[in-house]
Amino acid sequence: MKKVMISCEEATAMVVKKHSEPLTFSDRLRLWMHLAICKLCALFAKQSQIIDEAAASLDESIPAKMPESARARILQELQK
Amino acid sequence: MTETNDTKKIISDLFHQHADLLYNYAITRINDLQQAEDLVQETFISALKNYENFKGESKASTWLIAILKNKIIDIYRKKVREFKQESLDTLAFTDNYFDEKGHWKKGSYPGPWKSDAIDEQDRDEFYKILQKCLSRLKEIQRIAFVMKHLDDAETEEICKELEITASNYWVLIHRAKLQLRDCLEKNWINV
Repeated sequence: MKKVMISCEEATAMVVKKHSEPLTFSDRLRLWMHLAICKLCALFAKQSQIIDEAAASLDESIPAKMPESARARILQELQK
Repeated sequence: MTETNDTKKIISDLFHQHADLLYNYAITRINDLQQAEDLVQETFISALKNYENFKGESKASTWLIAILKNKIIDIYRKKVREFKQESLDTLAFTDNYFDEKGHWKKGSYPGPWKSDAIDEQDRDEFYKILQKCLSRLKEIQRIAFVMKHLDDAETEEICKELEITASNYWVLIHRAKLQLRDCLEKNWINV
């Protein structure tokens, strides 16, 4: 019999796992109960989602330019 | 090498069009600007050698990214292999945000952010900090996080590519998320 109350460490691990795959019914229930009473983990869950959404679009977000020196070097290589 | 001048011209044109795209892709995934440049170079050299394999069924940029992605995965695999199993096992106990009972340690409490969602005006700033925080993760955590969240790979696939167990993977991702959250909170000045 699994314990009903989980720790914050376990709860945050479940939050992270939940983004990738469905939790078992009993884990879902235990997480839900934990998040209902633990403000810190509830905050973690919310911020974790913000991070995931931002990470998923990180590629489009920061247009860096390749340094000119590198561009010139590579173009030269391509001409060889 | 028998690349014709025509092929060279095509690849050089592709370079002009897509160099920044590939460079961005590389620097987000490889924590080393010089290595990122080298990877872009190797990508275009592979493209030049294998141009006849490019059937034009996908966009050229997609084809180039696929070449680059393979090169990045090779590097990831090598790096993870260098990382000893015992270090993988002890990762769970480093940078601990929790006390021995598994409660948040005082001083590691998550604090509220400015808002529940990132709005338009904060977006660029937030991404920049996220990038910086990503670069501060332990390499192996960053690799797992990038494969999961930037490349949207399945857990099973990541474990197979990196030759790690699922439980190692979950520890890596869990720790990576805790550290990223903490780093974002400390560095997101607008809070």
